Amino acid sequence: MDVSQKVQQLIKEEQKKPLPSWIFLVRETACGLALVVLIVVSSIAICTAVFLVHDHDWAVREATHESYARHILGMLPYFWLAAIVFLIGFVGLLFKQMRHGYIYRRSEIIIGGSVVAVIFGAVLATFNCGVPVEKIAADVVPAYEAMVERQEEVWNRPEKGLLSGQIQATPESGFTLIDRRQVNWAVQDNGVVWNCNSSEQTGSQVKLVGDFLEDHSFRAEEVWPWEVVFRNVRCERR
Amino acid sequence: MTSERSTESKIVTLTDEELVMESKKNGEMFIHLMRRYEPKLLRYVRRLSGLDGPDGEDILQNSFLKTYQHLNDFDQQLKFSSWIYRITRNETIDYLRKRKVKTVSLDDDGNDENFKLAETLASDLDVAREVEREILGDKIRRALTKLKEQYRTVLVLRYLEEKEYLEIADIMRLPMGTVATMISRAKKQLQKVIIEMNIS
Repeated sequence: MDVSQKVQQLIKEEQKKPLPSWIFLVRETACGLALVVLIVVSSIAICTAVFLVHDHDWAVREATHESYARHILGMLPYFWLAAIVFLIGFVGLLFKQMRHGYIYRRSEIIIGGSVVAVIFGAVLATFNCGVPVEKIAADVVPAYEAMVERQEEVWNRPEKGLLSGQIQATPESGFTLIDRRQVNWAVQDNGVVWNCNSSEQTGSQVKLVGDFLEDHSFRAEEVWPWEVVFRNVRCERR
Repeated sequence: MTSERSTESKIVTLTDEELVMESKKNGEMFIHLMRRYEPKLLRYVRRLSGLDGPDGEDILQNSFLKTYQHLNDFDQQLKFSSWIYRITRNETIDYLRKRKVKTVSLDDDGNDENFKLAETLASDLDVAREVEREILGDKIRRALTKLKEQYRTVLVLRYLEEKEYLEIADIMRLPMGTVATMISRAKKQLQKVIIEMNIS
């Protein structure tokens, strides 16, 4: 008995039938949907990375006197960049599994996926979608704040001359400030420069550049409103 | 008898793709598709893996069963032969993997396959004389067994199965450009192996 006859006999005896079409359709559709989801998530990651870079406060570099190269290397959103690389890589792998995915080179798929994600990411960025995403990531992702330089943490390094918080009281000289960790500070403001319409009003959210003196004492040299970002020698609202 | 002959002659005129459609409606038609491909695929399995006899037949049996079960997954934009070759190659690789066979042994079956291989590859390996080509054919056959599976497959498909680049791309699920590059690399690798075997 040749192989063909054996197989035919087996098909008859075991009543084998071709698998129904819908199984293959479901598989292909699931791959397609997963691809769309990956592209959307990549776009969100791109939008958030753009937000973090755009939101970066160059006043920090002015205060810390770091070189541009070191400062830029420090401020890049590595968490989001790694997420983008991982997601786009996964797009490449998944696309290859699809029915006609093998026709394209892996580099073509990666470039194509990246272009689509960048375009959608740019659209999302115009709607400031990075803001809520970044807040959610900070709440949900373990150790997010260790991986991403958030402005709240950047401006909470009194030992490096950076402090932020809310003005509590304004006695005759200086003012008191409560920082993001609910710690009270006595701030000396002799000769301080009040930038970008910042004011000494109680309740104002401010960020300070100066010197750490001793336990909970700070000498301010410059004061900025919290919601203003120093960029291109201009005060810009976030 | 006349009716049987006329059915047979009708089946002979059907293309593979038409036979697939008929097999989906009536499973008994599938045997005609298998009979068309049985000898070529047995030879293909032997060329890829060195396995023939019961082992080769086991692989082919698995391939045919898989083909039958996946008939509704056959893409009409593809040639049926490319599709069944793809399934057979995958089954061969799986079979070898399960048996944990790393290198294959291609027995000399006394046909003119070695000469054919030498004819097609020898010019690339820069061998002029007819006598040397016959010896070289045997050496090429042995050198093939030392190549990576992808390189061996692509050379077998191109030079022994005489498949076009597009068919090879569909069988191996690779972009066309990659097939061309792979054939070029496979030939270079084969040449290197032959030199290492102190042939040329």
